[in-house]
Amino acid sequence: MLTWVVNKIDYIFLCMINRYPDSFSLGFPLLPCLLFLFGTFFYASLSAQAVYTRVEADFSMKEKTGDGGSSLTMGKVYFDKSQNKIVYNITFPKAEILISTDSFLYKIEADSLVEKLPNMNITKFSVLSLCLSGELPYFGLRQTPYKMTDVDKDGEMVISSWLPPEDYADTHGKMILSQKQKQLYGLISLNPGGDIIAKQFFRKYELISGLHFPTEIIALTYHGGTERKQITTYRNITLNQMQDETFYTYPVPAQ
Amino acid sequence: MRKSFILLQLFMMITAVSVFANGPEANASLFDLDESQLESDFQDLDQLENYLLDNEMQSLTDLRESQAGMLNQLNLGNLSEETLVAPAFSIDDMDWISFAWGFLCCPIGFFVVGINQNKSSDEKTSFWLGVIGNVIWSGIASALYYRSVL
Repeated sequence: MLTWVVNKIDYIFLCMINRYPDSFSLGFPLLPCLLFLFGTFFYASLSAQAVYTRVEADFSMKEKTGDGGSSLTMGKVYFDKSQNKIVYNITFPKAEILISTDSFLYKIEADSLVEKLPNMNITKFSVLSLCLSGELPYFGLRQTPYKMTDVDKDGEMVISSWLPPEDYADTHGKMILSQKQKQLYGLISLNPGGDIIAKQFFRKYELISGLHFPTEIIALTYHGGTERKQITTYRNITLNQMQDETFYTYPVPAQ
Repeated sequence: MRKSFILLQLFMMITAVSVFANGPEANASLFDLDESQLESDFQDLDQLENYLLDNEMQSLTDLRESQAGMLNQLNLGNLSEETLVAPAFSIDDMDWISFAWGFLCCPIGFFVVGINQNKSSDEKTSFWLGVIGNVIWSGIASALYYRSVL
């Protein structure tokens, strides 16, 4: 690719020298001008694809279960793309650190591992990771075997339907995704029978260092005739903080 | 005429089944959210959250000692001590009947639980854990058996 670009630039210069030999021989600063233009274009391209690798935020998760139960969890969350793990420094209801990886969730209290649980949440599909990678508008579905089968505009929403491949149709259901102003607004998950099992709403987007981040996520899950409601709120979101490594590189405890 | 009628009926049945399997039609009304209900449901937790933000964060145990009255007033006396960032499946979610199907009789359990659309994901996970448990146990038992025989 690089060779191709260099050859093309070389070819353009040769053509220009042949066509306008005077501009070079008379000292017309064509070459610096071209380099300046090329450099400006290159810089603009890089700026447009700003590299986001880290995010941290204060968070709170509130939950109401169908049987009247209530829960509140508050603390700070850290995610570094290169580490592929989410670290929660929880302050309420009790001080503890949780490390979520693709396979396990580690609970640490007073620097000691107190619990290691199987974890089915894939880090890549967390809101934090999807935001950094720019895949949130489609909830990362474009990176999965799911295929968009239908897209329609209804009012201010663009609604698309996504189906799993036939091999997974017995275990995975359809997903319906809605966007407002090219940002993810809602996601509805259905079981293979066509019943709605979960709804998620992504709202109150804030523009942080050029990145649109949903600061409120509402999740409604339906199971056994009951509804569970959960609201996650993010505050004080900071991107690419490189001064304090403590929680981004928090070590996964040894067994 | 009768043949066409039967064909039409068959077509309608297939259409009905596919409509059912595809679920509701994708439109904006599916994304309606009852804001006032949500606000009302979370009023107590919102107040507690604001209290914790305004004051120095403290644990639930400390809060129960110092602000028991506030918690009772907010009807949050039974607030869970578990953090919400929990795994999707833990031992507490295990359905032991489904596990037994997987462990003791997985060929039949596959139809009763494994591909049964009325079973929850926890029940299916429990079934597959039972199957894995069975495979591991069978492997160990077979190894011990052959070791004793040979």
